[in-house]
Amino acid sequence: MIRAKGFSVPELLIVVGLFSGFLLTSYALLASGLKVWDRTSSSQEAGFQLAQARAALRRDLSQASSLQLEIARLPGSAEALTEGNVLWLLSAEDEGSGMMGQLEDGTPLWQRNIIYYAMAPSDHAQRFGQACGRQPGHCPHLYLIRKVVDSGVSTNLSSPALNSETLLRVSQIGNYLTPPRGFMVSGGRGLEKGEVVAQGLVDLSFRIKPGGLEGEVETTISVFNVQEAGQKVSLGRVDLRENSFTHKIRFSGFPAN
Amino acid sequence: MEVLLSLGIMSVALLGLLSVLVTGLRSEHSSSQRVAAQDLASQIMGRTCLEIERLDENLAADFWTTDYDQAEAPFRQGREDEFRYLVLTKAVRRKDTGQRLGDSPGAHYNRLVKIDVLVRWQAPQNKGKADFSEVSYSRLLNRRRG
Repeated sequence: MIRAKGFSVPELLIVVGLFSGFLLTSYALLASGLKVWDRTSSSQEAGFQLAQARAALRRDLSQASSLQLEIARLPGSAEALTEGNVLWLLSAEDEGSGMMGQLEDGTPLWQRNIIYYAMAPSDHAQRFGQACGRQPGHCPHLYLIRKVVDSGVSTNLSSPALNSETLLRVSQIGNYLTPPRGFMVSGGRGLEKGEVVAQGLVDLSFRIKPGGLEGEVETTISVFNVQEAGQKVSLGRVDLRENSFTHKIRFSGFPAN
Repeated sequence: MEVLLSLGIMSVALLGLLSVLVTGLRSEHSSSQRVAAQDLASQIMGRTCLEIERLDENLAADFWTTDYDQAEAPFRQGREDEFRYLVLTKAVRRKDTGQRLGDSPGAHYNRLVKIDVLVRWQAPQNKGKADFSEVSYSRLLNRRRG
């Protein structure tokens, strides 16, 4: 009697079933692995942007004076406030050479105004493929901009007493709060340097004397994790400031001069 | 038998992979909490230094002569969001005699105090347990003349 070689139908069904189960599980694992990878890498990116912003602000604030800084609210606030989203201060450092200016009595020779604010680039729609509107907290594509300004008569270390930089007035600051074009920062009389310190911001706010004592400036920065949020959040339509995909840091600078 | 064995091995491998994923997510959350705690510690340290600088004469005399180095009786303590903080202070002393620096007549501006800010919080996975995470921030402060 000749015995037929090969597999029976039940055997084949079992193999196919096991193989399908294995494939499905592998797919589920791969998908969740990719999700974790995305989440980790995009949250690392958000953390990196926040760290950049923190480092720049801490450095400038530590060299500033609490008597030589102001806060206002964008757009068009007419007076200096204790809470706002634009900060400007005087710095004794010459950005080009890194030299700190000091007068004979040991007080700082103020050389530059430094301005911080957050704004979306003027080519936002082309760059991000959509418009997010102008409502506060709705756009996750804001850039943190730092401008170094030598206003009025040019300040230099050779004749310090004559040319000490003075703090910009609230009425003047509006001229400097211009959107960047891509990463090109321009705008404002006496602009010596403009840079994008961090990107992906949703919100930026400054507060003077949060603990009730003169000499502290508290900064809160929120970065929205666009990659992690994916399609789950409708950008431009909802307030992202308290969203679960938003990373927020709060830190203080203590002007020492 | 072989089928059962292979299923068992596969299940163990899957469970292993899942636990790796869960651990990854947890550590990411814990790392962002740690950064927030460090920011808070630095903020509390700055505020404490400002406060000490502005203490009136009696309180300043007390601060510069008393150690607040016990967690039960710290210099300052408080709570912010999920974090609890303590500010401990301790005078720096000579190693050989144990004497506080700046105790000689006319030398009290040489006093040096070590300030420790401890920020503690309980990670979500440890809720209900005694385990907590902690970051600390330390600084030496000397008495400012006049």
